[in-house]
Amino acid sequence: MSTDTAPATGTVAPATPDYDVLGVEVHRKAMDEIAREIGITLVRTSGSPVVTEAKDLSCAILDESSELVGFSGFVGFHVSTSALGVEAVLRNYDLADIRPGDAFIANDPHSSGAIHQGDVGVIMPYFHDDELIGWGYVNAHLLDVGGSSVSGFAPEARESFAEALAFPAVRFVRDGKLSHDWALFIANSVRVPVPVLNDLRSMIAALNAGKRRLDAVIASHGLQTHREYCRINKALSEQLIRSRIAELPDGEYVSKEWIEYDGHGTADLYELGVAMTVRGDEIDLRFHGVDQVPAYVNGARPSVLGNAMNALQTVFIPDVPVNAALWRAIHFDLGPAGSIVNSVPPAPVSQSHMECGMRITRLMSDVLAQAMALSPSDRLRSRVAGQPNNGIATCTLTGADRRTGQPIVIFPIAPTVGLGGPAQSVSDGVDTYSGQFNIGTRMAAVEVDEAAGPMVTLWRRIEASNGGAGQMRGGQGMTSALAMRGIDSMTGTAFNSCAEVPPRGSGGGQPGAGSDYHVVRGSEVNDLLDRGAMPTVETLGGSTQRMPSKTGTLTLREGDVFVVASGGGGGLGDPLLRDPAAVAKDVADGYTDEAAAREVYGVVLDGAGADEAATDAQRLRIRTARIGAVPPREIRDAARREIGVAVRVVAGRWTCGCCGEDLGDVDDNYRAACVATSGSAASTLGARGTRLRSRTVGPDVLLTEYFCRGCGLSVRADVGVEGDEVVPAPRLTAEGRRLADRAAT
Amino acid sequence: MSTVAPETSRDQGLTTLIGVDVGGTHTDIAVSTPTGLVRGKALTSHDEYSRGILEAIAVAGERLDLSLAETLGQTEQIVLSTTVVTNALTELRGAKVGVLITQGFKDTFRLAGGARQPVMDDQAHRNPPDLVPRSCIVEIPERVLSDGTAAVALDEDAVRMAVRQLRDEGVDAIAVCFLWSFKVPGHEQRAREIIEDEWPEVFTSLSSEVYPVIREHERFFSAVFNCFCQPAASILLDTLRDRLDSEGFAGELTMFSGAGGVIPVETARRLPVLLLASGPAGGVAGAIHLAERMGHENIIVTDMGGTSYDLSLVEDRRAAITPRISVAGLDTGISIVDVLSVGAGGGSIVWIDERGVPQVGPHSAGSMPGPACYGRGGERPTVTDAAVVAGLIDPAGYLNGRMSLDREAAVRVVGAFGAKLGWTPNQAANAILDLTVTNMANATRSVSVERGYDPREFAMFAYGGTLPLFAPRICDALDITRVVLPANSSVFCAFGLLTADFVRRYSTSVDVTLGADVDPTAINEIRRGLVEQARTELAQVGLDPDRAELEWEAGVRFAGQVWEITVPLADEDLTTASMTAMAAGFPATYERSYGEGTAWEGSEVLLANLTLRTRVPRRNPTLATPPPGDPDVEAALKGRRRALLPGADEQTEIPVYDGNRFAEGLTVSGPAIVDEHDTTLFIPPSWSCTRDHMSNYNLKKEG
Repeated sequence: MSTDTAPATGTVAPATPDYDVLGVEVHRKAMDEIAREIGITLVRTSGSPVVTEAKDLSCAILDESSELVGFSGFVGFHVSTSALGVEAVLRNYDLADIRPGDAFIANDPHSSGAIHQGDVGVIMPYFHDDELIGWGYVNAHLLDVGGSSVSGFAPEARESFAEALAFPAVRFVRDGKLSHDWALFIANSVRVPVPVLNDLRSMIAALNAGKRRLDAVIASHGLQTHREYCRINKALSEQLIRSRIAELPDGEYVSKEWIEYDGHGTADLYELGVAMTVRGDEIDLRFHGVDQVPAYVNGARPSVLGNAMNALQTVFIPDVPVNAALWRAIHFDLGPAGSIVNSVPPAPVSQSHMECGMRITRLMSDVLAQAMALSPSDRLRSRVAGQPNNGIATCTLTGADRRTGQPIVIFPIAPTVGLGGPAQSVSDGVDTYSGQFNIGTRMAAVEVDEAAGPMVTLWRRIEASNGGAGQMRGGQGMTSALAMRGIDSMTGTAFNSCAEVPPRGSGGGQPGAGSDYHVVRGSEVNDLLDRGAMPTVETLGGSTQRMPSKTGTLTLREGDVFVVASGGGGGLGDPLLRDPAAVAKDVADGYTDEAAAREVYGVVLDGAGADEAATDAQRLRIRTARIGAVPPREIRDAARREIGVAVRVVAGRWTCGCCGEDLGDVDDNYRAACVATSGSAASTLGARGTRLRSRTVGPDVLLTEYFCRGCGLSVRADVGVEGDEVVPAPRLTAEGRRLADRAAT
Repeated sequence: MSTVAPETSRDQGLTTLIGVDVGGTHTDIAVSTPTGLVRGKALTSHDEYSRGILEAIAVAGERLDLSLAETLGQTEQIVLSTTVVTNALTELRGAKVGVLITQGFKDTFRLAGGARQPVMDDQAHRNPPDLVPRSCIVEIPERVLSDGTAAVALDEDAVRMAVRQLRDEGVDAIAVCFLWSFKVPGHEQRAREIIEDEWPEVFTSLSSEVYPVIREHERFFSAVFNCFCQPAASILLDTLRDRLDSEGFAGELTMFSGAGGVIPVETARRLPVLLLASGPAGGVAGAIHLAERMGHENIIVTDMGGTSYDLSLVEDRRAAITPRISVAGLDTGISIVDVLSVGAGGGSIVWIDERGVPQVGPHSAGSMPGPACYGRGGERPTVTDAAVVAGLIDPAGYLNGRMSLDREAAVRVVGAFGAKLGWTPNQAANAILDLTVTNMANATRSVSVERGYDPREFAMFAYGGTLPLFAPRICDALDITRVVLPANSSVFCAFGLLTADFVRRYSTSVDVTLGADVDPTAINEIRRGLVEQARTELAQVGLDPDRAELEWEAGVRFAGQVWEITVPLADEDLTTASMTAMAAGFPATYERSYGEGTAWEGSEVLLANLTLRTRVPRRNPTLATPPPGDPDVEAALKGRRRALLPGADEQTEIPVYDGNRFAEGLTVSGPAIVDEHDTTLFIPPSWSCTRDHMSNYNLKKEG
């Protein structure tokens, strides 16, 4: 995990430290290196493309008080699962009964800290002279964990008991060897026993490697110093987090999201939300949601904590060395047990991380963007960003290989990596950024996918107008097509967590596209290939079947084609502020078209470049139409406004960041001072070429835009559902108002 | 090292070898004649590299009292390394490349296998650079499937149209990138024929030629990078031979590859990307050569200048290769000698992070403004400033007196930094030096301990301007007890070029399950094919194929795994028995790496790929000689300097020796300083230093 290496502008630590600052830093790096070595060993020995190609794994080192002291991972939300997993071990076993050579397996979100059942944790106690000194933790997505559907996803299960094997942190390794009893049980309970058991062996090998490194560190530092340095490094991280929080104006910031679920025959939207209260150098996060539902979208504690922390880390405190200090100044309240953000058995949770969890991440990125935009810190204001898409859409399939008769599992990873990232003030959003939590996960190569299973990839393309429009454009998603060839049929699940409620933009930026998929039944693909013709969208034939966003009964037969379109990230700033040359380049590159350039960005093209005069006129026309009058105020020069900072506080008043127009008292909602337009999100975005699945039943998803009466620029584009109240503005305390005022000066 | 007799000169009159390292600033030359080794240096001339090269050769010739024509006239071989390709690739300044790609996969370069790096910070990520303008990527109907079936034939008309289109776009080169071409290269080869037919002059790269291995984006990027660096390489390669010839050169001109061997100019013309990182690879080759002459088996090769600390671990005198390197954040299949580079040099800036923890680097003050002691306006403390405060560097004698340093400025900035932490300037200086040593020791640990090597079994070979100050202290942190500071430290990479053999590697996928019923026929055919290819290439460059040593490696894994373990193979046909034995022995090999009980069960053992390495040894270069005379401490003593020893609060006087009078066999004990031509050696307490007959300084930890 990298930390910010730029020389610091201001420093936290004041006085002379009374400890060996160098020793402490050397030790910290050693802890992260150990975690990294665990991961490297797993990648080198695993057989699962989910591990070796997509890097769906995370590793951690904990100290003897079960606190995180080193982390390395490609999946950010596992900062929560390691500590919760060790807690579960200690709940289940007497400390005196835990011995060197033991290892425990944990994959149950309700009982053993897991994100979802498919992400299996292995926990190994580390001893020094018979004394427990810490824990190694490794987590990887296994190809299968038994249960009602393949790979640990159970879209149609109504209870957690029907979902998958649920290891409650149980000892499955003694004296370094995988227990014969458990190996028999696991082999008998999963669809692909050989690779699953071998991946578990690789995880044990990885933790062995970590143990050797920790031994070496303790041999060189001594145990006492090791413990002291763990303590000091946690304190240093805590100090930095607190100083960062102190740069946010005190007050309450809120956001809402909706989980989509149509697996039981109705198209439901389940509301959840957060209220983030900033108090000095602490943050309180109060989550709320509807009652838990009999579907796998419920949030369990590990994913709610992990996904929320993941947003905080990527957006707000990326430079803080990762350890248990993450949980000291940021407090979580998940509300009463039994809700969709705090579910209890028998709530199904096998998509806890990618349904409730990913919405939690987006809630956090929204409230952080609101708060950072008002911060007096230049650096924090420059970190205001759109929402990441996060809405993973793919399938998991199993069937018998025609050549060998052996069972095979296919889990196309590329579409999950194909999601667009949030637009940033420093650049457009990253294309195929993946989920915000998948830090550095990679896309398996087409050739690796095709070598692994009976599917032919027909194309992988970036889809036009997929990233949220904005001064900075949201990252773009990928569309890919997988054709079944060489197998009679495969069955499994398909899921899409963001088809209808898109990721928001920030500071007047627009939502990104949703994800979607469909099946082309009975295509001509194999006939075409057999007679030497290129299968393309035009020649594919067959019939398109619309699929529900969650299904546990997907069957693909030879010749069927699974087409997945991954969604885009949210934009940042009003699209009318985008550099016309960048829009012209997007058109030339095929990332958007001329119509969208004109209607969304107000850019009129003249050959390969933008026609400056026509563009100015078109942009004024759009701003005039938005507020029904010629805008009375000029847009400030670029030097006098900040990308994505659309609303500021000046002398206790909300003020447009682009023209200085007064938007009302800071105790009121600035939205009330704006001109609002509202309409169906799917049709509004669809008209601009940005895909979003229409809802078939009420309530509809709405896109509501608020335009400044001074300049006609967009101040905020809200995403909500029909019948919901107007989204509240930040409610600042007197102290928060003073801090926000400082930002304006 | 070699069991084959060294190649004798083809013309007995040609006795000189010249190593040329064309760097970004300087062109370094090492000239080996039967009687000695001399060096030359000149500024690199970027418009016409041969000018700087000839100048530097002339400088070296003067030391031999020879004219340029005389020097070249007696030269048997010139070996050349360069940063030209490295700079073109890392700075992304290169050709306008056109691409022909399998229909449906135009966006492969933008998707880049998933562009996000494993870094937490959302703002640290960027979209991959558009190496190829999107308008210059043309999709071609054709499709080979995973089983090798060419399901959709190459649309030759489409290729023809595409070439015309790319020509109109004004591309400089064309890369051909088709799926599964590593397995079935026919479509790419046919496309090349059509390109040559339509546009004979254009440079073309096939992905199947540059890197014939699975994972299309790595293969495609390799082909595109090969095109991308071609113009820069051609400035060097196209005219150099003619210029050298016109100055009287009649020997052989060869290039050095980043993978650490000599390759013919023709190969470099076709595959210029092989020149990536060739300079550092030359340094590693030189260190290996010295190690052999000195009797060291395992060495850690280190190089530290103003901005970076480069290091490479060498086991059994074999340079390790990093396969599939990433260039500008893009995955490739390019292999180079494994050199880890970290931002730690004399110019590294010292700062305090937000947690109050002091940090060194990776930002560097560079040469402008440079360290505060340079007096060019640098206001941030650097490692060099700390060394000046500590008295390790003589402000008046820096770079042999060519530059004087401002000690007051160094004390001021180091003192101000220390004050923030409650330290005296001396304490601050020592803390900075300690932290620098820690960073370098960590980096050294990452190439040794982290990869399963015990650094105590290695000697450190250290060159570059800044390292002699730090090498023994880094070794203290790792319990390494021997350090070699080679002669000719400042042109060591150029020297190294003279030491490496003709080496090439050929890899191919095999994918055979090893079992009792395995038939070796097909594999042996592949083996013979590789040998045939290697022999042909050797003959093409005028080498006798019968003199080549062949070394074989197999990549083996459990079926279902993705990554292989490398296992050495004998140079003989495989048999059912040998393959069965390989399978039977594999679990033990595997568990040695990953721990008992971790070998996979129920999975067959797979022979995934074969690698052939051919090596034709060359004549050894002549080594440097130490100053003449008997070892005499008093004669070598230059004076005494007040220097701050590690852990001390105050400076103490320690002896300073003059490298120009430091004779063979002289041994001095630390603490001591040796002022050398263009660097300073610091010998800490409990270390001793001896000069050997090859003019190297050998440092040993006492006790």
